[in-house]
Amino acid sequence: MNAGRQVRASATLRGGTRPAVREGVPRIITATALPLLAIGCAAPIELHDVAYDPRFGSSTMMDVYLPDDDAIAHPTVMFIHGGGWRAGDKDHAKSMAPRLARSGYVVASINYRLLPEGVFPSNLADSVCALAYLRAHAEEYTIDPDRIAVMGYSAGAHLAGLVGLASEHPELPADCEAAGGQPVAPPAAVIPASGPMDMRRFWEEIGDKDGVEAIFGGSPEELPRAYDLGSPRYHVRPGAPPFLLMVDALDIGGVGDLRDALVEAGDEARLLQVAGSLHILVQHGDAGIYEGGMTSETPEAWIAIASFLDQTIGGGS
Amino acid sequence: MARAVALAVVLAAAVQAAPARAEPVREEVIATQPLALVARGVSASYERRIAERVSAVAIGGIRAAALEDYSSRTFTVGGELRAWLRQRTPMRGPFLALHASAGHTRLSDDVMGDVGGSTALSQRFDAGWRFTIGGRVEIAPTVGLGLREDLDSTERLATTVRGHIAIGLEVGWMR
Repeated sequence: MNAGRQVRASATLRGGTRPAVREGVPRIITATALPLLAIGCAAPIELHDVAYDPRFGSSTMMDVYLPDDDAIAHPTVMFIHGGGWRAGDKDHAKSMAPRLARSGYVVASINYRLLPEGVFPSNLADSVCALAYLRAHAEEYTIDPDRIAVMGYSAGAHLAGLVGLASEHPELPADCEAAGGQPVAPPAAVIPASGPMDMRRFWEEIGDKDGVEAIFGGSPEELPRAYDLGSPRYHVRPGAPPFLLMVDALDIGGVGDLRDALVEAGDEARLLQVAGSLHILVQHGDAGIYEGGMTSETPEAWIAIASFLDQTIGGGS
Repeated sequence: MARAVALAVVLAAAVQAAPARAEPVREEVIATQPLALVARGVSASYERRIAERVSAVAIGGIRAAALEDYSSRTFTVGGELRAWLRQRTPMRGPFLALHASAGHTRLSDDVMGDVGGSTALSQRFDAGWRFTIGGRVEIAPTVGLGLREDLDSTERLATTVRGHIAIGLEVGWMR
């Protein structure tokens, strides 16, 4: 029995209920849509609603996409969804995760507590706990615990940036069972896409100030320390993991400043801006045709992501 | 962007409200897709009537969307068959289209040089409406549903296929 089959067997037993495990469909679609192209990659194995912190029910569950191969330690991407910290779901990774899994990466797409319950730093604590859970269960999910990248989109990008720079911060403890009362080491690489990195600046730039204040429970004047702690920009230090930052047409929330600060600190950081991307509306295959999707799904972004992952956590099998 | 859409809607309403009169049937359209400009691109198309209620379109475009530490070039070519639904006003009014295109993107950065490439193949079913101004200037918004296949030229990523919703806008000159 290979490692992938072991995961399927153990997931079936977990909690005494049958998990939602299903084979992916992209290969079938490909075969019918574009029959001239030979597609040889196996569909990923999907494990849905894996609880990484049982205290908060479905708010702290993840979907895990496993390559259907015999490798026992895959490079892994943990994906944090967007939705303005108050909406969204782990399903946001449904378009990206299967491709990465079929490329040899384990992908874990996480839920986290949303507003009003998920006031900072509980949303960050959940994200850090998910990372700790993946490391603690690395063998079960055929994960190489030293090769985990964290990627996020929009609000998830903000949290991914914090996981990358502040996972061990003593004022931001992750008090879940997976963390075991210990600081959680940062991931091997970070890909925040189209999310704010400086929450004070984001508060100044955005019209919906009440929306930002809801994340922290007040304004920057009322809670200056919370805004500092909640901004990846203020956690920059030498020795941070490599960052691939992305923004759409509008660079708001200090993403460029974070890149500059990381480089100045001697860290590796690259910034890709995709002109014309309107956060959830992007130009893809045809110049002039707009499609619904994330900036991180444009061809420019996919190429950068593939290269960055290859350099930082290695290519898939 | 919102102003442009509002302007297009007002223009379209004005055109529709104008009294109907017989217009000569146009055989060719040279057009551009202005939404390409938003992604630092240009796109142009040539359309020719090939049957009473059918026209064929050839489309080409280029985009240089990557900025900051990266640069990119995307070249796209495509073709479309349009079926005009109104018999008395071919090449105007509502139409349905079958669209196929290929786009190739190469990305480079200022440290590594060439980072890689990706090819997107699209097949789409579009529905649109061509409004005309003065019988010569045309505006044609479209919406479509399709499948897109992405192929990574470095083979680091698996080929993938996904469905997508597309929005287009064409502005051109009829003759």
